Amino acid sequence: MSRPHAFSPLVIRGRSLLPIVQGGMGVGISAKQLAGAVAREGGVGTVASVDLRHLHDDLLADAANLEGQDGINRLNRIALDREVKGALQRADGHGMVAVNIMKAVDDHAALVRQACESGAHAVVMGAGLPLDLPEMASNHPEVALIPILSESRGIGIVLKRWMKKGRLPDAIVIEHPNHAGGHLGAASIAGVGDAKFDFARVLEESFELFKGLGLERERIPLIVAGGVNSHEKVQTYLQQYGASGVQIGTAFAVTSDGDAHINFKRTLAGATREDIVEFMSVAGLPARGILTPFLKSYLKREDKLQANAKADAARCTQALNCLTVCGLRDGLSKVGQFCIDLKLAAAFRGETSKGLFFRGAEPLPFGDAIKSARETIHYFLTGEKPLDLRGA
Amino acid sequence: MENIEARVKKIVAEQLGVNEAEVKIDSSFVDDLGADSLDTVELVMALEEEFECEIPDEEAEKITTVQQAVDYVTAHLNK
Repeated sequence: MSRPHAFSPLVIRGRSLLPIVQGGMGVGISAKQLAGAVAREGGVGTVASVDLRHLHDDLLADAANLEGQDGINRLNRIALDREVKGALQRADGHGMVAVNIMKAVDDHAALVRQACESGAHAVVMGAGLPLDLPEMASNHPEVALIPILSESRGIGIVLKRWMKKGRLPDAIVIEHPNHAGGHLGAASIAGVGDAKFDFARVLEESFELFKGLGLERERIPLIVAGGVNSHEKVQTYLQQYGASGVQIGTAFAVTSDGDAHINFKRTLAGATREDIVEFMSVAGLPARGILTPFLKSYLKREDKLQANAKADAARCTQALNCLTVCGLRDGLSKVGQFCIDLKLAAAFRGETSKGLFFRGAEPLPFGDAIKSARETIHYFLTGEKPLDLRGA
Repeated sequence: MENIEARVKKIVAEQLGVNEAEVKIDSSFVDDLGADSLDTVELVMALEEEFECEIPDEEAEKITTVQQAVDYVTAHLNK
Protein backbone atom coordinates (compact mmCIF):
# COMPACT_ATOMS: atom_id res chain seq x y z
CA MET A 1 0.00 0.00 0.00
CA SER A 2 1.10 3.56 -0.62
CA ARG A 3 2.38 5.74 2.16
CA PRO A 4 0.10 8.19 3.91
CA HIS A 5 -0.66 11.25 1.84
CA ALA A 6 -2.25 14.62 2.34
CA PHE A 7 -5.38 14.21 0.21
CA SER A 8 -8.95 13.44 1.16
CA PRO A 9 -10.29 10.13 -0.12
CA LEU A 10 -12.34 9.99 -3.30
CA VAL A 11 -15.68 8.50 -2.27
CA ILE A 12 -17.75 6.85 -5.00
CA ARG A 13 -20.90 4.98 -4.09
CA GLY A 14 -19.73 4.43 -0.53
CA ARG A 15 -16.24 3.23 -1.48
CA SER A 16 -13.40 5.22 0.00
CA LEU A 17 -10.63 5.38 -2.60
CA LEU A 18 -7.31 7.02 -3.36
CA PRO A 19 -8.07 10.15 -5.41
CA ILE A 20 -6.28 8.52 -8.35
CA VAL A 21 -8.25 7.19 -11.31
CA GLN A 22 -6.53 5.30 -14.11
CA GLY A 23 -8.22 6.30 -17.35
CA GLY A 24 -9.57 3.67 -19.74
CA MET A 25 -7.26 3.16 -22.73
CA GLY A 26 -8.12 0.98 -25.69
CA VAL A 27 -7.48 -1.22 -27.50
CA GLY A 28 -6.13 -3.38 -24.70
CA ILE A 29 -3.82 -0.79 -23.13
CA SER A 30 -5.73 -0.87 -19.84
CA ALA A 31 -7.14 -4.34 -19.29
CA LYS A 32 -7.00 -6.69 -16.32
CA GLN A 33 -3.31 -6.25 -15.45
CA LEU A 34 -3.26 -2.47 -15.23
CA ALA A 35 -6.79 -1.96 -13.90
CA GLY A 36 -6.23 -4.68 -11.32
CA ALA A 37 -2.89 -3.22 -10.23
CA VAL A 38 -4.30 0.28 -9.73
CA ALA A 39 -7.36 -0.99 -7.86
CA ARG A 40 -5.14 -3.15 -5.66
CA GLU A 41 -3.37 0.00 -4.48
CA GLY A 42 -6.76 1.49 -3.57
CA GLY A 43 -7.41 3.65 -6.63
CA VAL A 44 -9.85 3.30 -9.52
CA GLY A 45 -8.56 0.90 -12.19
CA THR A 46 -10.38 1.06 -15.51
CA VAL A 47 -10.68 -1.67 -18.12
CA ALA A 48 -11.18 -0.22 -21.61
CA SER A 49 -13.95 -2.38 -23.08
CA VAL A 50 -13.33 -1.78 -26.77
CA ASP A 51 -12.35 -4.73 -28.99
CA LEU A 52 -10.88 -6.83 -26.18
CA ARG A 53 -10.92 -10.01 -28.28
CA HIS A 54 -7.47 -8.92 -29.48
CA LEU A 55 -6.11 -9.96 -26.06
CA HIS A 56 -7.26 -13.57 -26.32
CA ASP A 57 -5.79 -15.93 -28.89
CA ASP A 58 -8.67 -18.39 -28.68
CA LEU A 59 -11.19 -15.62 -29.39
CA LEU A 60 -9.11 -14.33 -32.31
CA ALA A 61 -9.07 -17.85 -33.73
CA ASP A 62 -12.86 -18.00 -33.36
CA ALA A 63 -13.19 -14.58 -35.00
CA ALA A 64 -11.33 -15.82 -38.08
CA ASN A 65 -14.10 -18.36 -38.65
CA LEU A 66 -16.95 -15.96 -38.04
CA GLU A 67 -18.81 -13.70 -40.38
CA GLY A 68 -20.66 -10.61 -39.37
CA GLN A 69 -20.59 -8.21 -36.51
CA ASP A 70 -22.89 -10.08 -34.09
CA GLY A 71 -20.39 -12.88 -33.68
CA ILE A 72 -17.50 -10.48 -33.16
CA ASN A 73 -19.48 -8.41 -30.68
CA ARG A 74 -20.16 -11.61 -28.75
CA LEU A 75 -16.43 -12.45 -28.66
CA ASN A 76 -15.64 -8.95 -27.43
CA ARG A 77 -18.14 -9.39 -24.60
CA ILE A 78 -16.63 -12.75 -23.63
CA ALA A 79 -13.25 -11.02 -23.53
CA LEU A 80 -14.66 -8.16 -21.43
CA ASP A 81 -16.06 -10.68 -18.95
CA ARG A 82 -12.62 -12.30 -18.63
CA GLU A 83 -10.83 -8.98 -18.21
CA VAL A 84 -13.23 -7.61 -15.59
CA LYS A 85 -13.08 -10.81 -13.57
CA GLY A 86 -9.29 -10.88 -13.92
CA ALA A 87 -9.01 -7.28 -12.73
CA LEU A 88 -11.28 -7.95 -9.76
CA GLN A 89 -9.18 -10.96 -8.83
CA ARG A 90 -5.99 -8.93 -9.04
CA ALA A 91 -7.53 -6.10 -7.01
CA ASP A 92 -8.22 -8.61 -4.24
CA GLY A 93 -11.03 -6.58 -2.71
CA HIS A 94 -9.21 -3.23 -2.80
CA GLY A 95 -10.10 -0.07 -4.67
CA MET A 96 -12.58 0.02 -7.52
CA VAL A 97 -12.67 -1.73 -10.90
CA ALA A 98 -14.40 0.36 -13.56
CA VAL A 99 -15.12 -0.32 -17.23
CA ASN A 100 -14.86 2.41 -19.85
CA ILE A 101 -17.41 2.10 -22.64
CA MET A 102 -17.51 4.59 -25.48
CA LYS A 103 -20.92 5.79 -26.55
CA ALA A 104 -19.59 5.91 -30.12
CA VAL A 105 -19.13 2.12 -30.13
CA ASP A 106 -22.10 0.48 -31.79
CA ASP A 107 -22.43 -2.33 -29.22
CA HIS A 108 -22.19 0.04 -26.22
CA ALA A 109 -25.48 -0.92 -24.58
CA ALA A 110 -24.64 -4.63 -24.57
CA LEU A 111 -21.15 -3.83 -23.26
CA VAL A 112 -22.67 -1.87 -20.36
CA ARG A 113 -24.84 -4.84 -19.47
CA GLN A 114 -21.89 -7.22 -19.73
CA ALA A 115 -19.69 -5.00 -17.52
CA CYS A 116 -22.42 -4.94 -14.85
CA GLU A 117 -23.02 -8.69 -15.06
CA SER A 118 -19.29 -9.40 -14.83
CA GLY A 119 -19.12 -7.53 -11.53
CA ALA A 120 -17.58 -4.17 -12.46
CA HIS A 121 -18.00 -1.57 -9.73
CA ALA A 122 -18.47 1.31 -12.15
CA VAL A 123 -19.22 2.09 -15.78
CA VAL A 124 -17.50 5.14 -17.26
CA MET A 125 -18.86 6.50 -20.54
CA GLY A 126 -17.50 9.15 -22.90
CA ALA A 127 -16.95 9.63 -26.65
CA GLY A 128 -20.51 10.87 -27.01
CA LEU A 129 -23.19 12.05 -24.59
CA PRO A 130 -24.18 9.23 -22.22
CA LEU A 131 -27.79 10.37 -21.92
CA ASP A 132 -29.31 6.89 -21.77
CA LEU A 133 -26.65 5.22 -19.58
CA PRO A 134 -29.05 4.98 -16.59
CA GLU A 135 -31.47 2.85 -18.63
CA MET A 136 -28.70 0.59 -19.91
CA ALA A 137 -27.57 -0.14 -16.35
CA SER A 138 -31.00 -0.10 -14.75
CA ASN A 139 -30.85 -3.76 -13.64
CA HIS A 140 -27.70 -3.05 -11.64
CA PRO A 141 -28.35 -0.12 -9.33
CA GLU A 142 -25.24 -1.05 -7.34
CA VAL A 143 -22.95 -0.09 -10.24
CA ALA A 144 -21.63 3.48 -10.18
CA LEU A 145 -22.25 5.50 -13.35
CA ILE A 146 -19.59 8.00 -14.37
CA PRO A 147 -19.94 10.19 -17.49
CA ILE A 148 -16.92 11.79 -19.15
CA LEU A 149 -17.55 15.37 -20.26
CA SER A 150 -15.41 18.35 -21.14
CA GLU A 151 -17.39 21.51 -20.50
CA SER A 152 -19.95 22.60 -17.94
CA ARG A 153 -22.66 22.88 -20.61
CA GLY A 154 -22.39 19.12 -21.20
CA ILE A 155 -22.42 18.46 -17.46
CA GLY A 156 -25.61 20.55 -17.16
CA ILE A 157 -27.31 18.63 -19.97
CA VAL A 158 -26.45 15.22 -18.51
CA LEU A 159 -27.52 16.27 -15.00
CA LYS A 160 -30.88 17.62 -16.19
CA ARG A 161 -31.66 14.59 -18.39
CA TRP A 162 -30.57 12.11 -15.70
CA MET A 163 -32.44 13.89 -12.88
CA LYS A 164 -35.67 13.47 -14.85
CA LYS A 165 -35.03 9.72 -14.60
CA GLY A 166 -34.25 9.96 -10.90
CA ARG A 167 -30.55 9.21 -11.23
CA LEU A 168 -27.43 11.27 -10.56
CA PRO A 169 -23.93 10.51 -11.83
CA ASP A 170 -21.82 8.91 -9.08
CA ALA A 171 -18.86 10.98 -10.26
CA ILE A 172 -18.02 12.98 -13.39
CA VAL A 173 -14.73 12.90 -15.27
CA ILE A 174 -13.83 16.28 -16.77
CA GLU A 175 -11.52 15.70 -19.72
CA HIS A 176 -9.43 18.56 -21.11
CA PRO A 177 -9.13 18.19 -24.91
CA ASN A 178 -5.90 20.20 -25.00
CA HIS A 179 -4.00 17.77 -22.77
CA ALA A 180 -5.62 14.33 -22.85
CA GLY A 181 -4.75 11.43 -25.14
CA GLY A 182 -6.92 9.47 -27.54
CA HIS A 183 -10.36 10.82 -28.41
CA LEU A 184 -10.96 14.40 -27.31
CA GLY A 185 -14.17 16.12 -26.24
CA ALA A 186 -14.03 19.07 -28.66
CA ALA A 187 -15.95 19.43 -31.92
CA SER A 188 -12.81 20.27 -33.95
CA ILE A 189 -9.02 20.27 -33.73
CA ALA A 190 -8.99 24.06 -33.70
CA GLY A 191 -11.29 24.06 -30.68
CA VAL A 192 -9.27 21.89 -28.28
CA GLY A 193 -7.66 24.86 -26.51
CA ASP A 194 -10.88 26.80 -25.88
CA ALA A 195 -11.02 28.53 -22.47
CA LYS A 196 -14.36 26.83 -21.77
CA PHE A 197 -12.36 23.62 -21.10
CA ASP A 198 -10.07 25.09 -18.41
CA PHE A 199 -10.33 22.93 -15.30
CA ALA A 200 -10.74 25.87 -12.89
CA ARG A 201 -13.56 27.27 -14.99
CA VAL A 202 -15.37 23.96 -15.56
CA LEU A 203 -15.18 23.14 -11.82
CA GLU A 204 -16.43 26.58 -10.80
CA GLU A 205 -19.28 26.49 -13.31
CA SER A 206 -20.17 22.94 -12.25
CA PHE A 207 -20.40 23.95 -8.59
CA GLU A 208 -22.69 26.84 -9.63
CA LEU A 209 -24.76 24.40 -11.66
CA PHE A 210 -25.08 22.07 -8.65
CA LYS A 211 -26.28 25.01 -6.57
CA GLY A 212 -28.89 25.93 -9.18
CA LEU A 213 -30.16 22.35 -9.26
CA GLY A 214 -30.31 22.11 -5.48
CA LEU A 215 -27.38 19.69 -5.19
CA GLU A 216 -24.73 19.98 -2.48
CA ARG A 217 -21.26 20.93 -3.73
CA GLU A 218 -19.79 17.61 -2.58
CA ARG A 219 -22.69 15.50 -3.90
CA ILE A 220 -21.00 14.44 -7.15
CA PRO A 221 -17.20 14.00 -7.07
CA LEU A 222 -15.51 15.74 -9.99
CA ILE A 223 -12.41 14.10 -11.44
CA VAL A 224 -10.13 16.08 -13.74
CA ALA A 225 -8.39 14.33 -16.63
CA GLY A 226 -5.77 15.37 -19.15
CA GLY A 227 -2.14 16.36 -18.66
CA VAL A 228 -1.89 15.23 -15.04
CA ASN A 229 1.83 14.44 -14.92
CA SER A 230 3.10 15.72 -11.56
CA HIS A 231 2.41 15.63 -7.84
CA GLU A 232 2.22 19.43 -7.91
CA LYS A 233 -0.64 19.36 -10.42
CA VAL A 234 -2.49 16.85 -8.25
CA GLN A 235 -2.08 19.23 -5.30
CA THR A 236 -3.37 22.18 -7.32
CA TYR A 237 -6.40 20.39 -8.72
CA LEU A 238 -7.44 18.73 -5.46
CA GLN A 239 -6.56 21.40 -2.94
CA GLN A 240 -7.08 24.63 -4.87
CA TYR A 241 -9.60 23.90 -7.61
CA GLY A 242 -11.86 21.63 -5.55
CA ALA A 243 -11.63 18.47 -7.65
CA SER A 244 -12.16 15.19 -5.77
CA GLY A 245 -9.82 13.12 -7.92
CA VAL A 246 -7.49 13.11 -10.90
CA GLN A 247 -7.62 10.74 -13.85
CA ILE A 248 -4.29 9.71 -15.34
CA GLY A 249 -3.82 7.84 -18.61
CA THR A 250 -0.45 7.91 -20.37
CA ALA A 251 1.63 7.70 -17.16
CA PHE A 252 -0.17 4.43 -16.34
CA ALA A 253 -0.10 3.07 -19.92
CA VAL A 254 3.70 2.92 -19.79
CA THR A 255 3.98 1.18 -16.40
CA SER A 256 5.26 -2.37 -16.11
CA ASP A 257 1.67 -3.28 -15.19
CA GLY A 258 0.27 -1.91 -18.46
CA ASP A 259 -1.33 -4.61 -20.62
CA ALA A 260 0.25 -3.54 -23.94
CA HIS A 261 3.47 -4.77 -25.60
CA ILE A 262 6.74 -3.24 -24.34
CA ASN A 263 7.20 -1.55 -27.76
CA PHE A 264 3.94 0.30 -27.16
CA LYS A 265 5.20 1.59 -23.82
CA ARG A 266 8.61 2.57 -25.22
CA THR A 267 6.97 4.41 -28.11
CA LEU A 268 4.81 6.43 -25.71
CA ALA A 269 7.57 7.04 -23.17
CA GLY A 270 10.09 8.02 -25.85
CA ALA A 271 7.86 10.51 -27.69
CA THR A 272 8.75 14.21 -27.53
CA ARG A 273 6.35 17.12 -27.84
CA GLU A 274 7.15 17.48 -31.55
CA ASP A 275 6.06 13.87 -32.10
CA ILE A 276 2.59 14.41 -30.65
CA VAL A 277 -0.19 15.61 -32.95
CA GLU A 278 -3.94 16.11 -33.16
CA PHE A 279 -5.91 14.68 -36.06
CA MET A 280 -9.51 13.73 -36.85
CA SER A 281 -10.42 10.18 -35.89
CA VAL A 282 -12.83 8.00 -37.85
CA ALA A 283 -15.16 8.33 -34.87
CA GLY A 284 -15.75 11.99 -35.82
CA LEU A 285 -13.84 13.44 -32.87
CA PRO A 286 -10.39 14.99 -32.76
CA ALA A 287 -7.77 12.66 -31.29
CA ARG A 288 -4.20 12.96 -30.05
CA GLY A 289 -1.44 10.50 -30.82
CA ILE A 290 2.16 10.03 -31.85
CA LEU A 291 3.56 10.65 -35.33
CA THR A 292 4.66 7.06 -35.86
CA PRO A 293 5.22 5.86 -39.46
CA PHE A 294 1.55 4.96 -40.00
CA LEU A 295 0.19 8.29 -38.77
CA LYS A 296 2.82 10.27 -40.66
CA SER A 297 2.02 8.59 -43.95
CA TYR A 298 -1.74 8.71 -43.32
CA LEU A 299 -1.67 12.45 -42.61
CA LYS A 300 0.35 13.05 -45.76
CA ARG A 301 -2.41 11.38 -47.78
CA GLU A 302 -5.35 12.52 -45.66
CA ASP A 303 -6.60 15.17 -48.10
CA LYS A 304 -6.69 12.69 -50.97
CA LEU A 305 -8.39 10.03 -48.88
CA GLN A 306 -10.98 12.48 -47.62
CA ALA A 307 -11.67 13.73 -51.15
CA ASN A 308 -12.28 10.09 -52.06
CA ALA A 309 -14.60 9.39 -49.12
CA LYS A 310 -17.63 7.35 -50.10
CA ALA A 311 -20.36 5.64 -48.08
CA ASP A 312 -19.68 2.00 -48.80
CA ALA A 313 -20.23 -0.91 -46.44
CA ALA A 314 -17.38 -2.78 -48.14
CA ARG A 315 -14.92 -0.20 -46.83
CA CYS A 316 -15.37 -1.78 -43.40
CA THR A 317 -13.02 -4.55 -44.51
CA GLN A 318 -13.24 -6.31 -41.15
CA ALA A 319 -17.08 -6.26 -41.42
CA LEU A 320 -16.94 -5.29 -37.76
CA ASN A 321 -19.04 -2.15 -37.89
CA CYS A 322 -17.51 -1.32 -34.53
CA LEU A 323 -18.60 2.33 -34.56
CA THR A 324 -22.14 3.69 -34.86
CA VAL A 325 -20.78 6.40 -37.14
CA CYS A 326 -17.51 5.67 -38.97
CA GLY A 327 -15.82 8.19 -41.29
CA LEU A 328 -14.34 5.45 -43.45
CA ARG A 329 -17.43 3.27 -43.90
CA ASP A 330 -19.94 6.14 -43.98
CA GLY A 331 -17.90 8.33 -46.35
CA LEU A 332 -17.60 11.37 -44.06
CA SER A 333 -15.09 13.59 -45.81
CA LYS A 334 -14.32 15.81 -42.81
CA VAL A 335 -13.13 13.04 -40.50
CA GLY A 336 -10.65 10.16 -40.41
CA GLN A 337 -10.32 7.60 -43.22
CA PHE A 338 -8.58 4.59 -41.67
CA CYS A 339 -9.66 1.42 -39.87
CA ILE A 340 -9.21 2.27 -36.20
CA ASP A 341 -9.63 -1.33 -34.99
CA LEU A 342 -6.74 -2.59 -37.15
CA LYS A 343 -4.49 0.32 -36.21
CA LEU A 344 -5.08 0.27 -32.45
CA ALA A 345 -4.73 -3.51 -32.30
CA ALA A 346 -1.39 -3.24 -34.13
CA ALA A 347 -0.22 -0.68 -31.55
CA PHE A 348 -1.28 -2.98 -28.70
CA ARG A 349 0.87 -5.74 -30.24
CA GLY A 350 3.82 -3.35 -30.40
CA GLU A 351 3.93 -3.01 -34.20
CA THR A 352 5.57 0.40 -34.21
CA SER A 353 5.37 0.98 -37.95
CA LYS A 354 1.74 -0.09 -38.46
CA GLY A 355 0.01 0.93 -35.25
CA LEU A 356 -1.81 4.04 -34.09
CA PHE A 357 -0.42 5.19 -30.74
CA PHE A 358 -2.71 7.41 -28.68
CA ARG A 359 -0.95 9.54 -26.09
CA GLY A 360 -1.55 12.61 -23.92
CA ALA A 361 0.24 15.87 -24.72
CA GLU A 362 2.51 16.27 -21.69
CA PRO A 363 5.92 14.81 -20.75
CA LEU A 364 5.87 11.84 -18.37
CA PRO A 365 6.85 12.12 -14.68
CA PHE A 366 9.54 9.45 -14.94
CA GLY A 367 10.79 10.44 -18.40
CA ASP A 368 11.28 7.32 -20.50
CA ALA A 369 11.68 5.03 -17.48
CA ILE A 370 9.18 2.18 -17.09
CA LYS A 371 8.10 1.75 -13.46
CA SER A 372 5.22 0.00 -11.72
CA ALA A 373 1.69 1.30 -11.20
CA ARG A 374 2.40 1.29 -7.47
CA GLU A 375 5.45 3.57 -7.84
CA THR A 376 3.47 5.82 -10.17
CA ILE A 377 0.61 6.20 -7.69
CA HIS A 378 3.07 6.78 -4.86
CA TYR A 379 4.71 9.60 -6.80
CA PHE A 380 1.44 11.34 -7.66
CA LEU A 381 0.31 11.21 -4.04
CA THR A 382 3.57 12.14 -2.31
CA GLY A 383 5.94 13.68 -4.85
CA GLU A 384 8.53 10.97 -4.14
CA LYS A 385 10.03 9.34 -7.22
CA PRO A 386 11.52 5.83 -7.24
CA LEU A 387 15.01 5.81 -5.65
CA ASP A 388 16.95 5.43 -8.91
CA LEU A 389 15.22 8.46 -10.44
CA ARG A 390 15.66 10.87 -7.54
CA GLY A 391 17.75 13.89 -8.33
CA ALA A 392 17.35 13.08 -12.01
CA MET B 1 -49.05 22.26 -39.02
CA GLU B 2 -47.67 25.57 -40.29
CA ASN B 3 -47.94 26.88 -36.82
CA ILE B 4 -45.82 24.02 -35.46
CA GLU B 5 -43.26 24.55 -38.20
CA ALA B 6 -42.99 28.25 -37.40
CA ARG B 7 -42.63 27.56 -33.67
CA VAL B 8 -39.97 24.90 -34.28
CA LYS B 9 -38.02 27.23 -36.57
CA LYS B 10 -38.15 30.00 -34.00
CA ILE B 11 -36.75 27.72 -31.29
CA VAL B 12 -34.05 26.40 -33.61
CA ALA B 13 -32.99 29.95 -34.45
CA GLU B 14 -32.91 30.96 -30.78
CA GLN B 15 -31.05 27.89 -29.56
CA LEU B 16 -28.44 27.83 -32.31
CA GLY B 17 -28.03 31.60 -32.45
CA VAL B 18 -28.81 31.86 -36.15
CA ASN B 19 -31.11 34.15 -38.11
CA GLU B 20 -34.63 32.71 -38.45
CA ALA B 21 -34.45 33.26 -42.21
CA GLU B 22 -31.54 30.82 -42.40
CA VAL B 23 -33.60 28.04 -40.87
CA LYS B 24 -35.19 26.07 -43.73
CA ILE B 25 -37.43 23.07 -43.35
CA ASP B 26 -34.69 20.77 -44.68
CA SER B 27 -31.84 22.37 -42.67
CA SER B 28 -29.61 19.93 -40.81
CA PHE B 29 -28.69 21.24 -37.36
CA VAL B 30 -25.07 20.12 -37.59
CA ASP B 31 -24.27 20.39 -41.30
CA ASP B 32 -26.24 23.54 -42.19
CA LEU B 33 -26.67 25.45 -38.95
CA GLY B 34 -23.34 24.77 -37.26
CA ALA B 35 -24.68 22.96 -34.20
CA ASP B 36 -22.49 20.66 -32.09
CA SER B 37 -23.70 17.58 -30.23
CA LEU B 38 -24.51 19.60 -27.10
CA ASP B 39 -26.51 22.15 -29.11
CA THR B 40 -28.71 19.44 -30.58
CA VAL B 41 -29.58 18.05 -27.12
CA GLU B 42 -30.30 21.54 -25.78
CA LEU B 43 -32.52 22.07 -28.78
CA VAL B 44 -34.48 18.92 -28.01
CA MET B 45 -34.84 20.07 -24.40
CA ALA B 46 -36.17 23.44 -25.62
CA LEU B 47 -38.67 21.66 -27.89
CA GLU B 48 -39.85 19.61 -24.92
CA GLU B 49 -40.50 22.80 -22.97
CA GLU B 50 -42.22 24.61 -25.83
CA PHE B 51 -44.53 21.73 -26.73
CA GLU B 52 -44.83 20.27 -23.22
CA CYS B 53 -43.84 16.81 -24.33
CA GLU B 54 -41.17 14.27 -23.39
CA ILE B 55 -38.77 13.20 -26.12
CA PRO B 56 -36.99 9.97 -25.12
CA ASP B 57 -33.19 9.92 -25.62
CA GLU B 58 -33.28 7.33 -28.39
CA GLU B 59 -35.86 9.42 -30.30
CA ALA B 60 -33.95 12.62 -29.60
CA GLU B 61 -30.82 11.17 -31.22
CA LYS B 62 -32.75 10.71 -34.46
CA ILE B 63 -33.85 14.34 -34.67
CA THR B 64 -31.15 15.95 -36.79
CA THR B 65 -33.10 18.24 -39.13
CA VAL B 66 -35.86 20.83 -38.81
CA GLN B 67 -38.18 18.51 -40.74
CA GLN B 68 -37.57 15.66 -38.30
CA ALA B 69 -38.27 17.95 -35.36
CA VAL B 70 -41.52 19.15 -36.94
CA ASP B 71 -42.55 15.55 -37.76
CA TYR B 72 -41.85 14.38 -34.22
CA VAL B 73 -43.77 17.18 -32.59
CA THR B 74 -46.69 16.84 -35.03
CA ALA B 75 -46.94 13.09 -34.47
CA HIS B 76 -46.84 13.38 -30.72
CA LEU B 77 -49.16 16.35 -30.30
CA ASN B 78 -51.90 14.58 -32.25
CA LYS B 79 -51.93 11.63 -29.91
